[in-house]
Amino acid sequence: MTSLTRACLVLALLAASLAPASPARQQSEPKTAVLYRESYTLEAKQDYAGALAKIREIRQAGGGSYFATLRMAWLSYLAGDYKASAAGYTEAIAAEPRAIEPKLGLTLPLLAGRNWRELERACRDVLALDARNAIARSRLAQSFYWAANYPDAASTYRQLVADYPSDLDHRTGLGWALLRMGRTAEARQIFEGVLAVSPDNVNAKQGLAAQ
Amino acid sequence: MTKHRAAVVLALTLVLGASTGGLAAAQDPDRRAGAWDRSVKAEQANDLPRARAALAEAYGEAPDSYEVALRLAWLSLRLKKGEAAATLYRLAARLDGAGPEATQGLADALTLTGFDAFARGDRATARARWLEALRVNPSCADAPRGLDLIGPVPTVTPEVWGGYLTSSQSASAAQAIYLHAPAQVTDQVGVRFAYRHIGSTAGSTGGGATSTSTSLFGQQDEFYAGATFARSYLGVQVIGFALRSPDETVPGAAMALRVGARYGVSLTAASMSRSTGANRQIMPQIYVWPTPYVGLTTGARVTNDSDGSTTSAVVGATVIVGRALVDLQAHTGTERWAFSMAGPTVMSLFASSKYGGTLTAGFELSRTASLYLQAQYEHITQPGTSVQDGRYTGLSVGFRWSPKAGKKDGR
Repeated sequence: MTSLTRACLVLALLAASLAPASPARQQSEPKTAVLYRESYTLEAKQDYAGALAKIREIRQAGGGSYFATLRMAWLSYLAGDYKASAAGYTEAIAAEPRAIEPKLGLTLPLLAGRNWRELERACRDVLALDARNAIARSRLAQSFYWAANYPDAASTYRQLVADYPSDLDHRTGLGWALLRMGRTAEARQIFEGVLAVSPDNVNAKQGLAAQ
Repeated sequence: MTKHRAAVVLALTLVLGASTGGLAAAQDPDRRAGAWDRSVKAEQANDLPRARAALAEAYGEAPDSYEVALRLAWLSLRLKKGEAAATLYRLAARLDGAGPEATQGLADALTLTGFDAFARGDRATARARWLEALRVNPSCADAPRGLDLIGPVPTVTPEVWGGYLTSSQSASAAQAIYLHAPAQVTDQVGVRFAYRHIGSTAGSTGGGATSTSTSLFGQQDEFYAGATFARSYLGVQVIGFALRSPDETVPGAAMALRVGARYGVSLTAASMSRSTGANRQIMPQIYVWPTPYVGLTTGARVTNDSDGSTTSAVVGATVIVGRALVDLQAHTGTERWAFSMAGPTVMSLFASSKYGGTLTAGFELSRTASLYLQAQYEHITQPGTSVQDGRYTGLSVGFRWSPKAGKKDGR
């Protein structure tokens, strides 16, 4: 084999590897898988409406599953449609009533939509299955705080601080709850403690400024 | 009973708290929303009952939040509910986040319950509360004040009085000396002994001590001996006495019953046997201490003796300001040989008193010494005689020595 022939062969192989999938390969992959791939690609480009459309296609094509429902809820949340997101997570909860995942997911649109009463209920549903779940406890504390239930917020944050001593969000949450109850000295101590290890912590700075 | 109920509520709360993984209870989220702010706002408006209710309705009487327990305790303390405050401070001290204010508050609440117990005559409870307050918080300032107030047991707080008595009716005067030795045997039981000597200085015929028609004063010796029993809401005193003059010896006895604490009723009954016949008195009264520093009383004295039956209205007021005390007792309406349990004394004049009063001022000179000044005035009359109405006055100075507790009471 001459060098020219060898070079042509290498180029042909290279071209084959870079070319789009052959019709035979595309035909062998299920349509739903393609749609999922496209949905992920669109999500990565922050085209949430497009990503959602792909999942809707999957469902219309009979691919409605717990996974598709959960993904619709997630993409709706990312798209800012909290009502649809909550409905999606609620549907997923109905499909898998013993799962923690959709219950925890439901807290996202409720938190973003500032629906504190529903958020508290959703967090308690998670904690009924997983009493030590840190995410649910943290969001429960937030629901307490924003509903002006500062004592319960402080109690919940205090437990979280004990369980996760290096989590500064829990510490600042406790500081704010104490501040709202007029316990300024304790709150100041907490904010100063946070700033000692996180000098640019905006939440702690605001807490100190609010005193 | 209240303590037991609180313990049951607390136990249930702890059980329920454990079942929810220690998280705040789920009930009443609507009530809890904004409850803290509502409570603070009500307190700022000086509506303490509403401030307390806002939190208690939202979080219950045995909350699982340290801050709520502490605030409920504080509001209870401000509402003078010492027992409730103490229960809540004890609860707070066991909750997550408990700080030194829980134990400091508990000492304050215990001190208050001590003064409450003291006000209703329950010295044993008062002493126990004050000593516990000092154990909880050794720097508690008010508990030692309470312990000083009741002194150690057993103890004697002797008094000596000197008086100068005058009467315009017979232009007579007398000197009096009075010795009183109340002894607290236990926190509930006490005994008291008193002696008074009246000696005429001028204008006296030297005949009947206080029983001549021309002189109100002569020689007289009075002896008193009694016992007291005081327990929560109940106090009983009995006294036997004898008034001895050259003309007669008058034996007598008296008893006083008190039912109540900061407010209540009392009944004093006295009987003495004079040569002219028996003198019997009964004096029902109601009293109230609206604050620990102000006491008010009113009632009536019914006197029955050989001269007939009379009724007089009696009123009294006591005010304590810092280390000073002022007490006024007055009556309007005829009285004869009026017996006073406070002294104890008998106004053993050979005359009737239409109206009059006694003003006493006391000053705490030191931790162990108190000085008293007393002024008496009575408008006197002798019905059935040609003697014109006149006045009786008495000025007295007293000194009380109170051996204080020091280390004897366990401090």
